[in-house]
Amino acid sequence: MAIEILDYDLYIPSLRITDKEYRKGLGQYKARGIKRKAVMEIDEDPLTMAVEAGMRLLRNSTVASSAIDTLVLASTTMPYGEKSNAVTVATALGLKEDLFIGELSSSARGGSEGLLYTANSLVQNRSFSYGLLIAADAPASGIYHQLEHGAGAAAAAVLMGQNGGYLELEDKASFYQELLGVRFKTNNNSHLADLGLNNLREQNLYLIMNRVVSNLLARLSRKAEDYRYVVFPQFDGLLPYRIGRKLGFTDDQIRGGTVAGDLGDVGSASSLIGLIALLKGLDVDDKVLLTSYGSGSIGEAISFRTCRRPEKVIDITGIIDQGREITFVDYLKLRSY
Amino acid sequence: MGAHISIPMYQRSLPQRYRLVGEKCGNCGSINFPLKAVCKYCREGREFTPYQLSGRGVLYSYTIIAGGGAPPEFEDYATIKGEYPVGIVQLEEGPRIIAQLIVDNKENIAIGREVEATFRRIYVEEEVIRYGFKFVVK
Repeated sequence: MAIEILDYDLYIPSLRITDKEYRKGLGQYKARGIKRKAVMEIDEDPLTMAVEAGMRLLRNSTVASSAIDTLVLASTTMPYGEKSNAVTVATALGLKEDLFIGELSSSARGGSEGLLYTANSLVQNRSFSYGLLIAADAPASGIYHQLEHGAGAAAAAVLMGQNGGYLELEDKASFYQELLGVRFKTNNNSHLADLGLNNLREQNLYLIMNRVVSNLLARLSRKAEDYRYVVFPQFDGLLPYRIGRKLGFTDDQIRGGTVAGDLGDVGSASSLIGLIALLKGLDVDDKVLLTSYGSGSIGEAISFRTCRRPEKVIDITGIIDQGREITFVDYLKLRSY
Repeated sequence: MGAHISIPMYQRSLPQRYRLVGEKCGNCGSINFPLKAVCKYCREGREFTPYQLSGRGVLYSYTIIAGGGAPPEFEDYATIKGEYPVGIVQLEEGPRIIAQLIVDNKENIAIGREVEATFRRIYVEEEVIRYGFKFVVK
């Protein structure tokens, strides 16, 4: 049974802050390859972004909200630690009351993890026809921390089903290894931490990415050049290129799905937004490789085949350009709320 | 004076607050929102069916709430924003409702402007986040 992506949409908050504003206000800026990022208003959080992304998808979808059988919500910044967050989203979207719900919150790989979780629930439950996956995130850290400088905000929604979709999920590879000290958040702190071990951070990421990509390509008897596009983890704007080049991918393959330079690090939402960004360039039978990385560490590589050319074009750069730039002082006010 | 709404009362009205679900009068066909025991238009109908509102409308009237005039549940919001707009929105389906407005610049607010509902945090009370709709001025 083929599991396919049937529809997609996203939500990007309207406020922007640039690297120049950081340098002017803070005297420093440490996020590599991120020129500007999306910022939430004070009355927004990952759940409001998730609802907006879901509403935009359902508003124009041929699938009624009442036909959706499962909802998966992914975010590392859920407002509630205990109390279902996804129920708020399901209620706001008017999904049916016997919906199967999943929540994924412990790593930035939540978007791709959610794809597999949704696909598995569709395969295992024969009565299920449609699954909705929403990843919404707004990472945060201390104002002088490089993780904070790059931390953006956005949400992506993907509708999955069994027929008539744009992308067919072909195969996946996973790999885990206990790796410490890089990008973590304890239960008593809402801020991301990192011990500043920059080389170790990248070594760990490459180790996991190399394993999942190599394993998947070997299993499918493919090479890097067989893929039209590839999406790599986007904790900063340069990382996808550094990792991708080492794995044999070209900048042209990487560029289409790399959005962090204008959007920031959007945690769990980054892999899905990267996927949505490249859809406009796909032709039938093009292959797409989606990877993700959760520190700690876990990685996935998911291979897709294009079944039909995506009709809906979402101009992410255009949406980002339409945003309103704020000053560093305004940004500090929003962070303090 | 605040507009405290108890959790049980808030919970009962979630379809209205999260999704703008109104009710269609079985007697005259008018759309009621918020929900009424008796239709506010024909003043006779007592049987209703749920009706999903579009969330689109025009601005019927508005005011700007200054920081000092904000109810206690919006005090933090008013402190950060300085002031914030509240409007009466005439929905496409007929009802007029009061809601906060979202606009980049208050100079862009004008009676008759198109507005569209968006899901936002309204306020936090006793650590419980109250979500609902605000209207974006287009």
